Amino acid sequence: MNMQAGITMFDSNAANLAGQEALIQERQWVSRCRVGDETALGFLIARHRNRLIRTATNLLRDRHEAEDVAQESFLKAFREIAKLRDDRAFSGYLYRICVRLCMDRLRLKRAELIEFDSPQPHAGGMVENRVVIEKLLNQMPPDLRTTLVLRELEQLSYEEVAEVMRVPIGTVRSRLHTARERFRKLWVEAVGE
Amino acid sequence: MRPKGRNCDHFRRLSTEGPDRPLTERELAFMDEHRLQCADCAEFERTACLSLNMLRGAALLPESAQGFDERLMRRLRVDNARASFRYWSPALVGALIACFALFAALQMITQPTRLKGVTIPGGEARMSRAHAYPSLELVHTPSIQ
Repeated sequence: MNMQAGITMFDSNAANLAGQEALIQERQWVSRCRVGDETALGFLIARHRNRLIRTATNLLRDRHEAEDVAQESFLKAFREIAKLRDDRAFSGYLYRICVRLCMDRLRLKRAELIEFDSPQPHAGGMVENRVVIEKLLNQMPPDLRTTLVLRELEQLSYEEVAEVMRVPIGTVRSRLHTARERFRKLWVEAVGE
Repeated sequence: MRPKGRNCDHFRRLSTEGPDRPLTERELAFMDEHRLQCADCAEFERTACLSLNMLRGAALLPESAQGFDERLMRRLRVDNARASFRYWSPALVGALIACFALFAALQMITQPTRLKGVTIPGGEARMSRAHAYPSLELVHTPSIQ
């Protein structure tokens, strides 16, 4: 038992060390990026690419658009890297840019949907889950939708969601409550439960 | 399926908070009791749980982003080139205007006030001035009979 606990402790210590090492490395890459080092740029892209694309894909529900947004996020972050005060904050900064760009696109899309093609709720039946979910999410306001996706699909904590969306934790809590309730209502209407 | 009273509100709030924080013994006991009493709230809880499960199950996994890095690096280079052009273009335009003005000034300084006489072999170059033709005086105009 003691040995097992020792191994677990060793594992967590090793994980912490690895995390710290990665952070230090990232800091070095960021400072090298400031002077235009392309290798460091490549490292940063490879490190954050997958997470950004995944989040954007879940927010926008479109893989191609998500890739485009991820690229834009990188471009914007690299363009303004000189303004970044703390090199350690780069990953959060990048993630925030990505979420904000996604929200901007969602707002545009929503305006277009309301203007041209108001989607009808699905009347039940054997429709693929993802299509139904996409339709339901499209009917939600961008703020609520983003909060719900970040919490439920990206598994971010309340604090992380608050930091990414730049709102207080209380706002995240209330938005999440409203978003879940609204999503449930839409789901009941769509599935005909 | 609207909440009927304060208990229903409380139950629904707890059921949405359930996934985010561990509920206390007291809260769990309240929920168990209320679930038996209120069919609407029990249905609310069931549909909330089902819808969220469906949402979580619909998470999209990104495809392998082939060529993403290359495309991004290319965009970065183009972006940098554009940014540097945008940065330097006012200076370039200013320099061009200054060059043009300098050239014009030099031309004006070095330009002679008169044209040089050109001697053409076998020919004759003349500089002629406009002659002052005598003007007719109206008093002496001959009358035509």
